Amino acid sequence: METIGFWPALLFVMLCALLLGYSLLDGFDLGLSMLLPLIPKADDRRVLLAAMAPFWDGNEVWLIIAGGVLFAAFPAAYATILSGFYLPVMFVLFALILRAVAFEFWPASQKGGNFWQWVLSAASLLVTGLFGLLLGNLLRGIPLDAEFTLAGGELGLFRPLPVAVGATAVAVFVFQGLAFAVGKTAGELQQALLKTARRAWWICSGVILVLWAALAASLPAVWQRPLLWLGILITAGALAGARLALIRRGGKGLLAFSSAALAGLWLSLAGIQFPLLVRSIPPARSMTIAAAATAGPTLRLIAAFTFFGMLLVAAYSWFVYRVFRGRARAEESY
Amino acid sequence: MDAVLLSRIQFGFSVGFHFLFPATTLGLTLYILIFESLFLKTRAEVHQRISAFLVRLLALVFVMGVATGATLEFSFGTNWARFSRFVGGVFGVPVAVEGITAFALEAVFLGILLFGRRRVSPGVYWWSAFLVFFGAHLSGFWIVAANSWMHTPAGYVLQGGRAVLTDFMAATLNPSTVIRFLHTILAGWLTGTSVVCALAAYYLLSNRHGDLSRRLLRVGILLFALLPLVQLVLGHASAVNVDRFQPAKSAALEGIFRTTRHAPLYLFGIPDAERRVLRFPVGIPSLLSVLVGWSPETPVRGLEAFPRDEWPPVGVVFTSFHVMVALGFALIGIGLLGGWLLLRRRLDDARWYWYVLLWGLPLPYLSFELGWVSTEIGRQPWIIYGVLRTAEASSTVVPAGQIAFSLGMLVLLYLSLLGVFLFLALRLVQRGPDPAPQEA
Repeated sequence: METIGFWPALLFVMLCALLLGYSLLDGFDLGLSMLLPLIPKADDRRVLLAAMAPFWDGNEVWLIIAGGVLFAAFPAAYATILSGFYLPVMFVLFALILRAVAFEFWPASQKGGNFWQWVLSAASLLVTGLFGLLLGNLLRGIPLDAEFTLAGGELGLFRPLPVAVGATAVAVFVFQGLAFAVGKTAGELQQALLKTARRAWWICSGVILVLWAALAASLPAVWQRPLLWLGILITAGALAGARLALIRRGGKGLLAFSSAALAGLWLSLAGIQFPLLVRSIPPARSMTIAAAATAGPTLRLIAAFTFFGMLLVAAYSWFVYRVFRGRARAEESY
Repeated sequence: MDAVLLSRIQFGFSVGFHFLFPATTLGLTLYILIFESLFLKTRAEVHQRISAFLVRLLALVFVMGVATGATLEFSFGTNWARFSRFVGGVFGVPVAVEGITAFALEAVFLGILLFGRRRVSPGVYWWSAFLVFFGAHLSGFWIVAANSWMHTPAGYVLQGGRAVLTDFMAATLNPSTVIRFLHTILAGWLTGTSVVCALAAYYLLSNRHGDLSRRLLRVGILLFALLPLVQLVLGHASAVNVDRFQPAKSAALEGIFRTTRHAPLYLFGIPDAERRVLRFPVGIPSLLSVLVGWSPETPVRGLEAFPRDEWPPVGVVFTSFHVMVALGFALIGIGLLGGWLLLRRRLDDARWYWYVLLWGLPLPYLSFELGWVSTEIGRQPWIIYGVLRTAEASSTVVPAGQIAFSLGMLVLLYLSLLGVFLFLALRLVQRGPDPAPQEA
C-alpha cells in the first residue's frame, strides 16, 4: 500500500469533523422535523419550529462546507461518489430543496401550513435516510474500475449494512432532535418530549446494536481496528449517560450525551474507513485518500482555511446560539 | 437526446433559476444595511419599519437561493464528474472557501436579522445586517472567482491529466475575476433597486404607506439614477476584458466574422454562421475598434480567425448580448428620468412614472439572465476556456434516462416553488410593512 502522507490524512480527519459537526447541528433540526408528525398539538409544533428556525440554515452550511472540502481536497472521490450515486444524490438534493422552502413556507402560509409540515418531515426523513444509505455503501464497498469510476452492475443500494447505517442515522438524529428540544421547552411539552425520548432511547440503542452486528457480519476484517472499539466504547458510555440523564436528572445534560454518542459513532466509522474514501468490491481497487487527494500545496491551503475558518464559524455560531438561548417562543417564529 | 446535452440543459436551467434569488439578495441586503444605518443615525422609526419589511422579503428570497444553490454545488460531481476530477483541486478551492468564509457568515447572522430584533441591541442588530450584507457579497466574490477561472484560467499547471493549483492568488484574481465580480454585484444592486422602487411605486399607486413609500422611493431613485451608468462603464470594461482574453467569444458577442480594422459596433443584425455574415446589419462604423483600443485603426479579431469547431453558437450569443445591452440602456433612461424628477421635486406626484417603475421590475432580471446566457454560452465549446471542452467534462457513468428524469423533476419542482414563492411574496407585499405606532 502506498504511503498516506500527513496532509491527506489530516484532510480526511477534517472532513470527518465537518460531517460530525453537520450531524450534531443539522442532526437536531433534521431529527426534530422528522418527529413533528408525532406531536399532536399544532401550538406545540409551532414552538418546536420556533426553536429550530434561527439555526437550521446555519446548520446546513456545514454540509455545504463538507461538500466543498471534499470537492477541493479529494476531487476524484467527489466525482466518483456523486456521479456513481446519481439518482440517490438527486433525491437528497430535491429533499434539501423542499426542506428549506418548507421551513419558510410553513409559517408563511397559515392555510397550507399542515401541507408544508408534512413536506418538512418527509423531506427530512429522506435526507437523513439517504445520507445513511450512501455512507453505508461507501463503507460496504461498490464496484470500482481501475480509473475509480463505477464499473457498472447493480449498486445494491439497500444491502444490509447500508440499511443499518440509514436506520441508525434516522434514530440518532431523532434522539439528537429530542435532546435539543428538551432544552428549549418547559412544562407539559417538555414532559411529553422527555417521555418520547425515553422510548426513543431504546429504539436508538437497539438500532445501534443492529449496526454493530451488521458491521461484524459484513466487514469482519475491520474488528481489529482500535478506533472502532474506542468509538463503540464512547457511544455505549454516552448512551448510558443519556439514560441516566433521562430518568434521574429530568433531561439535564441530555444534549451533551446525545452528541457524544454521535461523536463515538463517527469515530468508529471513520476508524473503519481510514485510509480509504471509497471501499471497492473487490477491495484491491478501493480509492484511498492518498489516491483521491489533490496536490500537496492545495491540501495545506484547504487545511488552513478549514481549520481557522471553522474556528471562526464556531465562535460566531456560539454567539448566535447564545442570543437565542432559553425557551423557544412560538410568537418569535417568522 | 444525449447525456451531455441533457446535463447542459439541466445546469443552465438550475443556475439560471438560482441566480434570480442571489441577485435579489445582493440588492436587498444593501437596502437593509442602508435603512438600518439611517435608523441608527436618525432613530426615526420609519427607517426601521422599512428595514423590517425588507428583511421579511429577504427571508423568502434567501431561502429560495439556499435551496437552489446546494443543487449547483453538488451537480459538478453528479453531472460533470470528468470536470471535477480534472479541476477539483483548483476550482473546488474557492467553492470550499466560499462556504467557510462567506455562506456560514451570511446564514448564521441571518438568524439574528430574522428573529433577533428584540433580543439584541440596535448596535448588534446593525452589525448583523452588515455581516449578512458582507457575507452575501463575499459569497458572490468566491463564486464569481470560481466561474471566472473557467473563463480565464490562471495560477495552475497541468500535471498527470489534471489541473494542479500553483498560485492561489493568481487563480482567484484571474484576469476576469475583478471586473466580472463588480459587474455581477452591480447587477444585484440594480435588481434590488428595481425591487424597492417597484414596491414604493405600488404602495403610492394604491394610496398606502405614503410617508414610508416616499422615503423608500427617494433612496431608491438616487441609486437608480447612478447605478445603471456605473454598470455601463463596468459592462464596457468587461467587454474589453473579453476581447482581450476570450477573443472568440468577443467576436460572437459583437457579430464580427472577419478580422478587420474600423470594426463597426453592430446595434442589430441576424448572424448567419453558415455563410459567415451578419444579415441585416445596423451598426456604427469603426466604433467597436475605438471602444476596444481607443482608435479606429485597432484591429478586431473575427470568428474566422478561429477553427470552426471553436466557435460558440453565434446566434444565441449575439442576440442575448444585444438585448441585454438594450435593456441596460432602458434602465439608464428610467433611472435618469427618476433622478430628474427627484431634482425637480416632482417624484411624489408623478403617477405615470410610478407605473413605469412598477412595470419595469422585470427589466433587470431579464437583463442579467441574458447577460449570463451570452457569457456562458459564449464560452462554449469550452467548459474551461481553451483547456477542456464541455463535451469531455461530463459524467460517463450516468445514463441519459436518469438525467432526463432529474431534469424533469427539477423543472417541475422549481416551477411549483416559483409559484408558491410569488404567491407568498405578493401576499407579503399586499399586507405591507407594519403600521406606524400612531396609525396602529
